[in-house]
Formats: sequence, C-alpha cells, structure tokens
Amino acid sequence: MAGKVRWPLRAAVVAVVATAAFAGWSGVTWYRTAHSEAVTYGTARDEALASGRELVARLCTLDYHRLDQGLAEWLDASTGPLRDRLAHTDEATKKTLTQGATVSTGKVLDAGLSELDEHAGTAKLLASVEITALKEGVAPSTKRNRFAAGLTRTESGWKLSALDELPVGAR
Amino acid sequence: MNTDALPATEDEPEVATSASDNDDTDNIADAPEAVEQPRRRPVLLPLLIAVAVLLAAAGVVFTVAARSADGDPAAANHALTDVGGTADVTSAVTLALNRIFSYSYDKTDVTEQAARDVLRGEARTTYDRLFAQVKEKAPAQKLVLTTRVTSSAVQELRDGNARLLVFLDQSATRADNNSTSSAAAQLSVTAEREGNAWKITGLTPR
Repeated sequence: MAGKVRWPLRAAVVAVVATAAFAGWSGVTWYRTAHSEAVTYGTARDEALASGRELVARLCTLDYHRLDQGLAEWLDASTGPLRDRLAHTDEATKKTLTQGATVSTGKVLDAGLSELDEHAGTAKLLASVEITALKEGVAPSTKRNRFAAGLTRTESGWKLSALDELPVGAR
Repeated sequence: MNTDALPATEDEPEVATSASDNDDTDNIADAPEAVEQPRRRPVLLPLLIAVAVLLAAAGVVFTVAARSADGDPAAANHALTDVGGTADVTSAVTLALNRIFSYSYDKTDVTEQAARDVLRGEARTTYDRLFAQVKEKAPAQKLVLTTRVTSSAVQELRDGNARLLVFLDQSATRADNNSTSSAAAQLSVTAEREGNAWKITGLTPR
C-alpha cells in the first residue's frame, strides 16, 4: 500500500505520455509535410511563374520618353547572357528607339512553366504576350507574341536569362 | 411483473453503495500515505498536468500547421512536381491537338472521329466554331491543314483536372493553287481525366 501511487497522479502520468506521443507524432507529420517536395518544389514553381510573368511584361514594355529608366529596368529584370546583351545597348540603338517615338506596353495573357530545376535554380517559361504600341499620329496597334523565357534564380530573386520570341510562321 | 421488477432495480443502488464503500476504504488506507508526503505531491501533480496541457497544445498547433501546409495551393497543384503525371497529360494533350487540328479535305472523317474521341463539353463547341471556316472552304480549296504542338506548359494538375498553355504551328496547303501558309497559335487548354485517358474540356485561344 505504501508504494501505491494515487490515481490522479497515475492519470496525469498517462496523460503526459499520451500527449507527448501526440505532440511527437504531429510534430513529425508537420515537419514532413512542410518540407515535402510537393510543398517546397510547388512553392518554387509558383514563385518562378509569378516572377517570370512580371519580368516578361517588363521587358516588353518601353516608353521612349523615359528610355534610360526603361533600359535600367530591363537590366534589373535580367541576368546572365540576356543582361550582357541589354547592357551593350549602344547609343545608335537608343537613338533609333527615341526616334521611333513609341510607347510599348506588354501584357502577359497567359504563361506557364515548362521546366523547373529547383536545385539548379533554373526554369523555362512559356508566355503569350499582348504588346500594345502607341505612337502619336498612328492608330494604336496590338500584337500577340509567343515567348520562351529562361529564368535563373539569383540572390535577388528570379531573373530572366533569356527571352526569345517563338517566331510566328510567315503568312 | 411490476413487483418482480421493483426489487431488481432496488438491487442496483445497493451494488453502487458497496462499490463506493470500497472506495471509501481505499481512501482511508491511502490517507496516511498522503499525510506522509504532503509536500511532494501538490507540486508533482500540477506540474504533470501543466506538461500534459502544453504537449497537447503543441500537438494541436503542429496538426493545424500540417493541415495548412498540406492544403497549401502550391502543394495541391501537382504540375511539374508530379513528373509522370505532368508528362502524361502533356503527351495526351499534344497528341489530341495534333489530331483534331490536322485536316485533309479528302479525309474529313479522320478528324471528325478524333474530335469525337478527345473533345468534351465546351471544348466541342469552341472547336466547331474555330473549325467551321476550315470545313467550309476545305473542299473547294483542297485544303490540307497540319498542326503541330511546338511547346507546352502544364500550369495546373490536380484531382484529375489539368490546365495547359500550348503553342502550336499550323501550316495550310491548298492543293487547288499549290500555295502554303503557316500560322502560329496559342491555346489555353483544360483537360479532365476520364478513366485512363485525358479528354479536352476547354479550348481558349490566347
């Protein structure tokens, strides 16, 4: 009788053991779910797509009034080979763009990732873009373009490393 | 009957009383023990209860967190994360589009059959509208239309439903004057799983 533990204490020990088991199991479940590939890879995919849409729209947009600002935004949106190419925009090209006196606005109608290598931090994006060109004295024109964009993850997020128009067949 | 039942019901409280009598004797037997350790027990019991409550709370928090992580839209969408499923729907939709948008003026039944096979619901209406002109002009122009999916991206894949962005190249050849023209097309496609096959349920030109 002296060694017998009173029932509330016994019940409390049982409760601690049971709740510890519950906490341990749910903790493991949560950890597994939150770090599962479906979540981490899925999140990376959605981030890359959202960034890609925004970046492609930006590179299809240029206002000749603010050419330098526009080119700076292009550089900010790109990395690698595409950035190198854009950085070499020479004065002659700038002059042509200014003389063109066009305000282009790109709008991504639809886009999707066709490839994603989360480990390497690269992705390929397909985008259907509507580009509206406004020029004084000329009726506004809209054109639909298909683009394949290469995305690379950098320290400051996803950037475009390639942007190629997928040629519309000659009519 | 009633007189028989009454004593039976009266028996039960007696059993209960004797049970509580036993409890009482237990308590009496325990009582000296409780007096022996008056300091240890009042600390231990609340401590254990507190630990149990904390653990239970942690368990509930983890469970809720796991549920929300599982219900994360990024996780529910298996596009690209399910490599096999993504490849499967891509190839099914590619084949289906190549078939239904390829048309030969002298083999119209092939295309008709393909359309019946792979198109469902709204997609059928859209397709008929998109194709009405081709069908009308085809015999006179001896038109042969060839469509090839050049690239595609699976945007969504969940519970037997998929959404894709597809780029197509179309080339039309008129045998009446030997001219060829080509065009590019972009389609947003929705597909639904039917048994082991994917059926196209929506077509939206992009």
